[in-house]
Amino acid sequence: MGEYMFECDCLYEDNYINKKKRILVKLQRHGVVRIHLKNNVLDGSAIAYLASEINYVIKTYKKACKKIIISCNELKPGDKLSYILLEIILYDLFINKGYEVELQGNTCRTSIDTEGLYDSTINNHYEYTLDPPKYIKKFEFEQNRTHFRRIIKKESSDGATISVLLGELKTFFYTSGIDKKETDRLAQVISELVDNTGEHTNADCLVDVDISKEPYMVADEENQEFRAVNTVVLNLGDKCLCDDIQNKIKNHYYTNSDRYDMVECAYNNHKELFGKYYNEMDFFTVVAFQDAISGRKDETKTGGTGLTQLIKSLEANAYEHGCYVLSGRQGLFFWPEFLEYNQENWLGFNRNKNFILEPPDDKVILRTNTFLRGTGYNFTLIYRKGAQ
Amino acid sequence: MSANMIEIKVDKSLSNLAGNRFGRQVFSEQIKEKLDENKTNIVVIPTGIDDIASSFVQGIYSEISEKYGKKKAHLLMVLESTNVEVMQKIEDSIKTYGI
Repeated sequence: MGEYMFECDCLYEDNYINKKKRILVKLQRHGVVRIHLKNNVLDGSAIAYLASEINYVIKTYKKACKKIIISCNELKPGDKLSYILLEIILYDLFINKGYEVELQGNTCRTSIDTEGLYDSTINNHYEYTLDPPKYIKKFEFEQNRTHFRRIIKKESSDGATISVLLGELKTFFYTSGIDKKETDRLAQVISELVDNTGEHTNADCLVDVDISKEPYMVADEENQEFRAVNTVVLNLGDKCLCDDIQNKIKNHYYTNSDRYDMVECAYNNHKELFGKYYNEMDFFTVVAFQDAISGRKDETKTGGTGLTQLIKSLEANAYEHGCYVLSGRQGLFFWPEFLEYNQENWLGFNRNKNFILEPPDDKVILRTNTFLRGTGYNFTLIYRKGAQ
Repeated sequence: MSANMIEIKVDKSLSNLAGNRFGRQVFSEQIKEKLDENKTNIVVIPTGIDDIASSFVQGIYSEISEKYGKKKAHLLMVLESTNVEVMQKIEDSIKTYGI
Protein backbone atom coordinates (compact mmCIF):
# COMPACT_ATOMS: atom_id res chain seq x y z
CA MET A 1 0.00 0.00 0.00
CA GLY A 2 1.13 3.62 -0.50
CA GLU A 3 2.51 6.10 1.97
CA TYR A 4 0.05 7.73 4.29
CA MET A 5 -1.02 10.69 2.28
CA PHE A 6 -4.11 12.83 2.71
CA GLU A 7 -5.08 11.35 6.01
CA CYS A 8 -8.52 12.66 6.81
CA ASP A 9 -8.68 12.19 10.57
CA CYS A 10 -8.89 15.94 11.15
CA LEU A 11 -11.66 16.21 8.55
CA TYR A 12 -13.68 13.53 10.34
CA GLU A 13 -13.06 14.90 13.85
CA ASP A 14 -13.61 18.54 12.93
CA ASN A 15 -16.98 17.71 11.37
CA TYR A 16 -18.19 15.29 14.02
CA ILE A 17 -21.55 16.17 15.46
CA ASN A 18 -22.20 14.40 18.69
CA LYS A 19 -25.96 14.43 18.76
CA LYS A 20 -27.68 12.87 21.73
CA LYS A 21 -30.55 11.73 19.59
CA ARG A 22 -29.15 10.32 16.44
CA ILE A 23 -29.92 7.51 14.17
CA LEU A 24 -26.86 5.44 14.78
CA VAL A 25 -24.91 3.97 11.97
CA LYS A 26 -25.23 0.33 12.86
CA LEU A 27 -22.55 -2.26 12.56
CA GLN A 28 -24.14 -4.99 10.50
CA ARG A 29 -23.13 -8.58 10.01
CA HIS A 30 -19.61 -9.26 8.78
CA GLY A 31 -18.45 -5.85 10.05
CA VAL A 32 -20.31 -3.81 7.45
CA VAL A 33 -21.62 -0.28 7.97
CA ARG A 34 -23.75 1.62 5.54
CA ILE A 35 -23.79 5.41 5.34
CA HIS A 36 -26.52 6.81 3.15
CA LEU A 37 -26.26 10.33 1.75
CA LYS A 38 -29.80 11.63 1.62
CA ASN A 39 -28.97 15.00 0.03
CA ASN A 40 -29.71 15.40 -3.64
CA VAL A 41 -26.47 17.28 -4.09
CA LEU A 42 -23.01 16.36 -2.88
CA ASP A 43 -22.25 19.70 -1.25
CA GLY A 44 -20.72 21.03 1.97
CA SER A 45 -23.57 19.62 4.05
CA ALA A 46 -23.24 16.18 2.53
CA ILE A 47 -19.47 16.09 3.00
CA ALA A 48 -19.82 17.30 6.61
CA TYR A 49 -22.43 14.61 7.30
CA LEU A 50 -20.32 11.92 5.69
CA ALA A 51 -17.22 12.97 7.64
CA SER A 52 -19.19 13.02 10.90
CA GLU A 53 -20.60 9.54 10.33
CA ILE A 54 -17.20 8.17 9.40
CA ASN A 55 -15.75 9.62 12.60
CA TYR A 56 -18.47 7.83 14.59
CA VAL A 57 -17.77 4.55 12.80
CA ILE A 58 -14.01 4.74 13.28
CA LYS A 59 -14.17 5.76 16.94
CA THR A 60 -17.03 3.47 17.95
CA TYR A 61 -16.47 0.26 16.03
CA LYS A 62 -12.74 0.44 15.59
CA LYS A 63 -11.42 -2.80 14.05
CA ALA A 64 -14.84 -4.46 14.25
CA CYS A 65 -15.80 -2.50 11.16
CA LYS A 66 -14.34 -4.07 8.03
CA LYS A 67 -16.37 -2.53 5.24
CA ILE A 68 -17.95 0.86 4.68
CA ILE A 69 -20.69 1.25 2.09
CA ILE A 70 -21.44 4.83 1.09
CA SER A 71 -24.68 5.06 -0.83
CA CYS A 72 -26.64 7.83 -2.46
CA ASN A 73 -29.64 7.98 -4.77
CA GLU A 74 -27.86 10.11 -7.30
CA LEU A 75 -24.31 11.44 -7.22
CA LYS A 76 -24.55 15.09 -8.20
CA PRO A 77 -21.52 17.09 -7.02
CA GLY A 78 -22.15 20.71 -6.07
CA ASP A 79 -18.79 21.68 -7.50
CA LYS A 80 -15.36 20.27 -8.17
CA LEU A 81 -14.07 20.69 -4.62
CA SER A 82 -16.99 18.63 -3.33
CA TYR A 83 -16.20 15.58 -5.40
CA ILE A 84 -12.47 15.94 -4.81
CA LEU A 85 -13.16 15.81 -1.05
CA LEU A 86 -15.26 12.67 -1.57
CA GLU A 87 -12.43 11.19 -3.62
CA ILE A 88 -9.93 11.92 -0.85
CA ILE A 89 -12.22 10.39 1.79
CA LEU A 90 -12.61 7.20 -0.26
CA TYR A 91 -8.83 7.05 -0.76
CA ASP A 92 -8.17 7.59 2.94
CA LEU A 93 -10.61 4.89 4.03
CA PHE A 94 -9.38 2.29 1.56
CA ILE A 95 -5.65 3.00 1.12
CA ASN A 96 -4.66 4.62 4.44
CA LYS A 97 -7.02 2.88 6.82
CA GLY A 98 -7.49 -0.45 5.08
CA TYR A 99 -11.27 -0.60 5.04
CA GLU A 100 -13.10 -2.29 2.24
CA VAL A 101 -15.03 0.56 0.63
CA GLU A 102 -17.98 0.45 -1.69
CA LEU A 103 -19.65 3.40 -3.31
CA GLN A 104 -23.24 2.75 -4.31
CA GLY A 105 -25.26 5.13 -6.41
CA ASN A 106 -27.75 4.79 -9.18
CA THR A 107 -26.57 7.59 -11.42
CA CYS A 108 -24.03 10.41 -11.71
CA ARG A 109 -25.19 13.82 -12.77
CA THR A 110 -22.52 16.33 -13.66
CA SER A 111 -22.40 19.78 -15.19
CA ILE A 112 -19.78 21.90 -16.90
CA ASP A 113 -17.81 22.39 -13.69
CA THR A 114 -17.98 18.82 -12.39
CA GLU A 115 -17.60 16.52 -15.37
CA GLY A 116 -14.02 15.91 -14.25
CA LEU A 117 -15.60 13.39 -11.87
CA TYR A 118 -15.74 10.87 -14.72
CA ASP A 119 -11.96 10.68 -14.84
CA SER A 120 -11.55 10.51 -11.06
CA THR A 121 -11.16 7.42 -8.90
CA ILE A 122 -14.79 7.89 -7.86
CA ASN A 123 -15.89 6.67 -11.26
CA ASN A 124 -15.50 2.89 -11.47
CA HIS A 125 -14.34 2.97 -7.86
CA TYR A 126 -14.88 -0.75 -7.43
CA GLU A 127 -12.41 -1.58 -10.21
CA TYR A 128 -9.77 0.62 -8.58
CA THR A 129 -10.19 -1.18 -5.28
CA LEU A 130 -9.32 -4.44 -7.04
CA ASP A 131 -5.93 -3.01 -8.00
CA PRO A 132 -4.50 -0.84 -5.19
CA PRO A 133 -1.24 0.14 -6.96
CA LYS A 134 -3.32 1.34 -9.93
CA TYR A 135 -5.62 3.20 -7.52
CA ILE A 136 -2.68 4.96 -5.87
CA LYS A 137 -1.12 5.83 -9.22
CA LYS A 138 -4.37 7.28 -10.55
CA PHE A 139 -4.93 9.23 -7.34
CA GLU A 140 -1.42 10.69 -7.37
CA PHE A 141 -0.86 11.38 -11.03
CA GLU A 142 -2.80 11.93 -14.22
CA GLN A 143 -2.07 13.77 -17.42
CA ASN A 144 -4.24 13.22 -20.43
CA ARG A 145 -5.85 15.60 -22.86
CA THR A 146 -8.49 16.84 -20.43
CA HIS A 147 -7.25 15.95 -16.97
CA PHE A 148 -4.20 16.97 -14.96
CA ARG A 149 -3.53 15.68 -11.47
CA ARG A 150 -0.50 15.99 -9.25
CA ILE A 151 0.19 15.51 -5.57
CA ILE A 152 2.96 17.79 -4.40
CA LYS A 153 4.31 16.09 -1.31
CA LYS A 154 5.29 18.30 1.57
CA GLU A 155 8.88 17.07 1.61
CA SER A 156 9.41 17.94 -2.06
CA SER A 157 7.39 21.14 -2.28
CA ASP A 158 10.33 23.52 -2.35
CA GLY A 159 13.29 23.73 -4.68
CA ALA A 160 12.46 23.62 -8.36
CA THR A 161 9.22 21.65 -7.88
CA ILE A 162 7.01 24.67 -8.52
CA SER A 163 8.98 25.58 -11.63
CA VAL A 164 8.53 22.05 -12.93
CA LEU A 165 4.81 22.18 -12.11
CA LEU A 166 4.45 25.44 -14.04
CA GLY A 167 6.10 23.88 -17.09
CA GLU A 168 3.94 20.75 -16.89
CA LEU A 169 0.75 22.77 -16.61
CA LYS A 170 1.66 24.84 -19.64
CA THR A 171 2.28 21.63 -21.58
CA PHE A 172 -1.05 20.22 -20.45
CA PHE A 173 -2.92 23.33 -21.61
CA TYR A 174 -1.12 23.40 -24.94
CA THR A 175 -3.73 21.22 -26.70
CA SER A 176 -6.75 22.75 -24.96
CA GLY A 177 -7.68 25.10 -27.80
CA ILE A 178 -7.81 27.96 -25.31
CA ASP A 179 -5.76 31.11 -25.84
CA LYS A 180 -2.19 30.41 -24.71
CA LYS A 181 -1.85 33.72 -22.91
CA GLU A 182 -4.81 32.80 -20.69
CA THR A 183 -3.66 29.27 -20.02
CA ASP A 184 -0.13 30.49 -19.20
CA ARG A 185 -1.70 32.90 -16.74
CA LEU A 186 -3.80 30.15 -15.20
CA ALA A 187 -0.76 27.87 -15.00
CA GLN A 188 1.05 30.62 -13.11
CA VAL A 189 -1.84 31.14 -10.68
CA ILE A 190 -2.06 27.42 -9.98
CA SER A 191 1.66 27.08 -9.36
CA GLU A 192 1.64 30.13 -7.09
CA LEU A 193 -1.22 28.70 -5.07
CA VAL A 194 0.71 25.48 -4.61
CA ASP A 195 3.86 27.39 -3.64
CA ASN A 196 1.93 29.44 -1.12
CA THR A 197 0.35 26.33 0.34
CA GLY A 198 3.68 24.60 0.74
CA GLU A 199 5.20 27.56 2.46
CA HIS A 200 2.50 28.07 5.04
CA THR A 201 1.53 24.51 5.87
CA ASN A 202 3.21 21.21 6.46
CA ALA A 203 0.97 19.13 4.25
CA ASP A 204 0.72 17.49 0.87
CA CYS A 205 -1.01 19.51 -1.81
CA LEU A 206 -3.38 18.16 -4.44
CA VAL A 207 -3.69 19.91 -7.78
CA ASP A 208 -6.43 18.80 -10.13
CA VAL A 209 -7.39 20.49 -13.37
CA ASP A 210 -9.99 19.28 -15.84
CA ILE A 211 -11.04 20.74 -19.14
CA SER A 212 -14.57 20.02 -20.31
CA LYS A 213 -14.41 17.31 -22.95
CA GLU A 214 -17.10 18.51 -25.29
CA PRO A 215 -17.32 22.18 -26.08
CA TYR A 216 -20.46 23.82 -24.72
CA MET A 217 -22.74 26.12 -26.63
CA VAL A 218 -24.39 29.09 -24.98
CA ALA A 219 -27.76 30.60 -25.91
CA ASP A 220 -27.34 33.95 -27.69
CA GLU A 221 -23.75 33.13 -28.53
CA GLU A 222 -24.21 31.34 -31.80
CA ASN A 223 -21.26 29.85 -33.57
CA GLN A 224 -19.23 30.10 -30.40
CA GLU A 225 -17.95 27.12 -28.52
CA PHE A 226 -16.99 27.33 -24.88
CA ARG A 227 -14.77 25.24 -22.71
CA ALA A 228 -14.63 25.10 -18.94
CA VAL A 229 -11.37 24.79 -17.07
CA ASN A 230 -11.99 23.61 -13.52
CA THR A 231 -9.22 23.68 -10.95
CA VAL A 232 -8.86 22.61 -7.37
CA VAL A 233 -5.77 23.26 -5.26
CA LEU A 234 -6.22 21.60 -1.89
CA ASN A 235 -4.26 20.78 1.18
CA LEU A 236 -5.51 19.18 4.38
CA GLY A 237 -3.03 20.74 6.72
CA ASP A 238 -2.83 21.37 10.42
CA LYS A 239 -4.10 24.93 10.21
CA CYS A 240 -6.44 27.24 8.38
CA LEU A 241 -5.42 29.94 5.91
CA CYS A 242 -5.80 32.80 8.36
CA ASP A 243 -4.13 31.17 11.38
CA ASP A 244 -0.57 32.45 10.89
CA ILE A 245 -1.47 36.05 10.16
CA GLN A 246 -4.06 36.03 12.94
CA ASN A 247 -1.38 34.86 15.35
CA LYS A 248 1.10 37.43 14.05
CA ILE A 249 -1.25 40.40 14.41
CA LYS A 250 -2.94 39.46 17.69
CA ASN A 251 0.37 38.69 19.38
CA HIS A 252 2.23 41.54 17.70
CA TYR A 253 4.87 39.20 16.23
CA TYR A 254 6.35 41.96 14.13
CA THR A 255 8.53 44.99 14.73
CA ASN A 256 8.64 48.49 13.34
CA SER A 257 6.08 48.26 10.62
CA ASP A 258 3.53 50.95 9.83
CA ARG A 259 1.77 48.57 7.52
CA TYR A 260 1.26 45.87 10.13
CA ASP A 261 0.23 48.57 12.59
CA MET A 262 -2.49 49.53 10.09
CA VAL A 263 -3.70 45.92 9.99
CA GLU A 264 -3.88 45.98 13.77
CA CYS A 265 -5.82 49.23 13.54
CA ALA A 266 -8.17 47.64 10.99
CA TYR A 267 -8.63 44.68 13.33
CA ASN A 268 -9.68 46.99 16.15
CA ASN A 269 -12.15 48.70 13.81
CA HIS A 270 -13.56 45.46 12.46
CA LYS A 271 -13.99 43.92 15.90
CA GLU A 272 -16.97 46.22 16.34
CA LEU A 273 -18.54 44.67 13.23
CA PHE A 274 -18.12 40.97 14.06
CA GLY A 275 -21.33 39.05 14.34
CA LYS A 276 -23.20 36.16 12.82
CA TYR A 277 -22.49 37.03 9.20
CA TYR A 278 -18.95 38.40 9.48
CA ASN A 279 -16.40 37.24 12.02
CA GLU A 280 -12.75 37.33 13.04
CA MET A 281 -11.79 34.44 10.80
CA ASP A 282 -13.30 36.24 7.81
CA PHE A 283 -11.27 39.32 8.69
CA PHE A 284 -7.98 37.47 8.90
CA THR A 285 -8.72 35.54 5.70
CA VAL A 286 -9.05 38.94 4.00
CA VAL A 287 -5.78 40.01 5.65
CA ALA A 288 -4.06 36.94 4.19
CA PHE A 289 -4.62 38.45 0.73
CA GLN A 290 -3.31 41.93 1.50
CA ASP A 291 -0.32 43.31 -0.36
CA ALA A 292 2.98 43.18 1.55
CA ILE A 293 1.42 41.33 4.46
CA SER A 294 2.53 37.85 5.31
CA GLY A 295 1.95 35.31 8.01
CA ARG A 296 5.67 34.53 7.92
CA LYS A 297 7.14 35.51 11.26
CA ASP A 298 10.36 37.01 9.93
CA GLU A 299 8.84 39.28 7.34
CA THR A 300 7.53 42.78 7.63
CA LYS A 301 8.34 44.47 4.33
CA THR A 302 7.45 41.79 1.84
CA GLY A 303 4.83 39.14 1.56
CA GLY A 304 1.72 38.30 -0.36
CA THR A 305 2.12 37.17 -3.91
CA GLY A 306 0.04 39.54 -5.98
CA LEU A 307 -2.25 36.57 -6.19
CA THR A 308 -5.45 38.52 -6.22
CA GLN A 309 -4.28 40.58 -9.16
CA LEU A 310 -3.46 37.42 -11.03
CA ILE A 311 -6.89 36.00 -10.20
CA LYS A 312 -8.53 39.21 -11.32
CA SER A 313 -6.73 39.15 -14.62
CA LEU A 314 -7.78 35.53 -15.09
CA GLU A 315 -11.41 36.42 -14.55
CA ALA A 316 -11.21 39.49 -16.78
CA ASN A 317 -10.37 37.30 -19.72
CA ALA A 318 -12.83 34.52 -19.08
CA TYR A 319 -16.39 34.49 -20.40
CA GLU A 320 -17.70 33.28 -17.06
CA HIS A 321 -16.00 32.44 -13.82
CA GLY A 322 -16.58 31.20 -10.33
CA CYS A 323 -13.58 31.26 -8.02
CA TYR A 324 -13.36 30.89 -4.29
CA VAL A 325 -11.13 29.86 -1.42
CA LEU A 326 -12.33 27.79 1.50
CA SER A 327 -10.66 27.33 4.87
CA GLY A 328 -12.35 26.35 8.10
CA ARG A 329 -16.09 26.66 7.64
CA GLN A 330 -15.76 29.81 5.58
CA GLY A 331 -14.01 31.50 2.74
CA LEU A 332 -14.06 34.22 0.13
CA PHE A 333 -15.51 34.45 -3.36
CA PHE A 334 -13.13 36.23 -5.74
CA TRP A 335 -15.59 38.56 -7.47
CA PRO A 336 -13.50 40.78 -9.78
CA GLU A 337 -15.41 43.97 -8.88
CA PHE A 338 -14.14 43.55 -5.32
CA LEU A 339 -10.53 42.78 -6.24
CA GLU A 340 -9.47 46.40 -6.66
CA TYR A 341 -6.66 47.76 -4.53
CA ASN A 342 -7.01 51.32 -3.28
CA GLN A 343 -4.28 53.95 -3.39
CA GLU A 344 -2.66 52.66 -0.24
CA ASN A 345 -2.64 49.13 -1.73
CA TRP A 346 -5.28 47.72 0.58
CA LEU A 347 -7.80 45.22 -0.72
CA GLY A 348 -11.16 45.83 0.93
CA PHE A 349 -13.17 43.18 -0.94
CA ASN A 350 -15.90 45.84 -0.97
CA ARG A 351 -17.19 48.55 -3.32
CA ASN A 352 -15.42 51.38 -1.52
CA LYS A 353 -12.08 49.52 -1.54
CA ASN A 354 -11.96 50.23 2.16
CA PHE A 355 -10.14 47.56 4.12
CA ILE A 356 -9.40 49.64 7.23
CA LEU A 357 -12.97 50.54 8.14
CA GLU A 358 -15.42 48.43 6.15
CA PRO A 359 -16.18 44.71 6.04
CA PRO A 360 -16.12 42.71 2.80
CA ASP A 361 -19.24 42.85 0.66
CA ASP A 362 -21.87 40.26 1.59
CA LYS A 363 -21.39 38.60 -1.81
CA VAL A 364 -17.77 37.88 -0.95
CA ILE A 365 -18.34 36.00 2.28
CA LEU A 366 -18.68 32.25 1.87
CA ARG A 367 -20.09 29.82 4.40
CA THR A 368 -20.16 26.04 4.27
CA ASN A 369 -21.12 23.25 6.61
CA THR A 370 -17.83 21.40 6.05
CA PHE A 371 -14.96 22.37 8.34
CA LEU A 372 -11.80 22.20 6.27
CA ARG A 373 -8.60 22.34 8.30
CA GLY A 374 -6.39 23.35 5.44
CA THR A 375 -7.15 25.39 2.35
CA GLY A 376 -9.12 24.63 -0.77
CA TYR A 377 -9.20 26.78 -3.89
CA ASN A 378 -11.92 26.06 -6.42
CA PHE A 379 -11.72 27.87 -9.75
CA THR A 380 -14.10 27.51 -12.65
CA LEU A 381 -13.24 29.54 -15.73
CA ILE A 382 -15.20 29.36 -18.97
CA TYR A 383 -13.35 30.36 -22.08
CA ARG A 384 -14.29 30.77 -25.67
CA LYS A 385 -12.61 28.06 -27.65
CA GLY A 386 -9.86 29.35 -29.90
CA ALA A 387 -8.35 32.85 -30.10
CA GLN A 388 -9.87 35.56 -27.90
CA MET B 1 28.23 52.63 -10.07
CA SER B 2 30.11 49.75 -11.63
CA ALA B 3 28.41 46.40 -12.12
CA ASN B 4 28.96 43.04 -10.50
CA MET B 5 27.75 40.19 -12.76
CA ILE B 6 26.32 37.13 -11.02
CA GLU B 7 25.21 34.20 -13.15
CA ILE B 8 22.74 31.83 -11.58
CA LYS B 9 22.58 28.18 -12.51
CA VAL B 10 19.53 25.97 -12.52
CA ASP B 11 18.82 22.49 -13.79
CA LYS B 12 19.07 22.51 -17.61
CA SER B 13 15.69 20.81 -17.88
CA LEU B 14 13.94 23.86 -16.42
CA SER B 15 12.39 26.37 -18.81
CA ASN B 16 10.37 28.22 -16.15
CA LEU B 17 11.28 29.78 -12.84
CA ALA B 18 8.47 29.87 -10.31
CA GLY B 19 7.91 29.82 -6.59
CA ASN B 20 8.67 32.27 -3.83
CA ARG B 21 10.70 29.72 -1.89
CA PHE B 22 12.73 28.77 -4.94
CA GLY B 23 13.54 32.44 -5.48
CA ARG B 24 14.75 32.73 -1.89
CA GLN B 25 16.73 29.54 -2.21
CA VAL B 26 18.49 30.75 -5.35
CA PHE B 27 19.29 34.05 -3.65
CA SER B 28 20.57 32.35 -0.53
CA GLU B 29 22.68 29.73 -2.31
CA GLN B 30 23.93 31.55 -5.40
CA ILE B 31 23.70 35.29 -4.93
CA LYS B 32 23.96 36.39 -1.32
CA GLU B 33 27.65 35.76 -0.80
CA LYS B 34 28.60 37.30 -4.12
CA LEU B 35 26.57 40.45 -3.56
CA ASP B 36 28.67 43.62 -3.55
CA GLU B 37 26.90 46.42 -1.70
CA ASN B 38 29.04 49.02 -3.44
CA LYS B 39 28.05 47.98 -6.90
CA THR B 40 24.96 47.29 -8.97
CA ASN B 41 24.64 43.53 -8.92
CA ILE B 42 23.34 42.14 -12.19
CA VAL B 43 21.87 38.68 -11.80
CA VAL B 44 21.87 36.90 -15.12
CA ILE B 45 18.95 34.52 -15.71
CA PRO B 46 20.06 31.39 -17.62
CA THR B 47 19.37 31.46 -21.37
CA GLY B 48 17.21 28.32 -21.24
CA ILE B 49 14.58 30.11 -19.15
CA ASP B 50 11.68 31.40 -21.20
CA ASP B 51 9.27 32.31 -18.42
CA ILE B 52 9.56 33.68 -14.91
CA ALA B 53 6.72 33.91 -12.41
CA SER B 54 6.13 36.90 -10.17
CA SER B 55 6.45 34.62 -7.13
CA PHE B 56 10.03 33.78 -8.08
CA VAL B 57 10.90 37.46 -8.59
CA GLN B 58 9.38 38.24 -5.22
CA GLY B 59 11.32 35.43 -3.57
CA ILE B 60 14.67 36.39 -5.04
CA TYR B 61 14.27 39.96 -3.81
CA SER B 62 12.76 38.99 -0.49
CA GLU B 63 15.82 39.05 1.75
CA ILE B 64 17.36 42.27 0.47
CA SER B 65 13.96 43.97 0.40
CA GLU B 66 13.56 43.07 4.07
CA LYS B 67 17.01 44.36 4.85
CA TYR B 68 17.20 47.52 2.73
CA GLY B 69 13.65 48.28 1.68
CA LYS B 70 12.26 47.71 -1.81
CA LYS B 71 13.65 50.82 -3.48
CA LYS B 72 17.25 50.25 -2.47
CA ALA B 73 16.90 46.51 -3.15
CA HIS B 74 16.08 47.24 -6.80
CA LEU B 75 19.07 49.55 -7.11
CA LEU B 76 21.32 47.00 -5.50
CA MET B 77 20.20 43.99 -7.55
CA VAL B 78 18.90 43.87 -11.09
CA LEU B 79 17.65 40.76 -12.92
CA GLU B 80 18.68 40.40 -16.51
CA SER B 81 17.81 38.01 -19.30
CA THR B 82 18.55 37.83 -23.01
CA ASN B 83 14.90 36.76 -23.48
CA VAL B 84 12.76 39.82 -24.13
CA GLU B 85 9.60 38.18 -22.76
CA VAL B 86 11.34 37.24 -19.53
CA MET B 87 12.54 40.81 -19.11
CA GLN B 88 8.99 42.03 -19.67
CA LYS B 89 7.67 39.59 -17.05
CA ILE B 90 10.28 40.79 -14.56
CA GLU B 91 9.33 44.40 -15.16
CA ASP B 92 5.61 43.59 -14.91
CA SER B 93 6.16 41.70 -11.67
CA ILE B 94 8.03 44.58 -10.10
CA LYS B 95 5.64 47.23 -11.41
CA THR B 96 2.32 45.46 -10.97
CA TYR B 97 2.94 43.56 -7.79
CA GLY B 98 5.19 46.07 -6.12
CA ILE B 99 7.98 43.59 -5.50
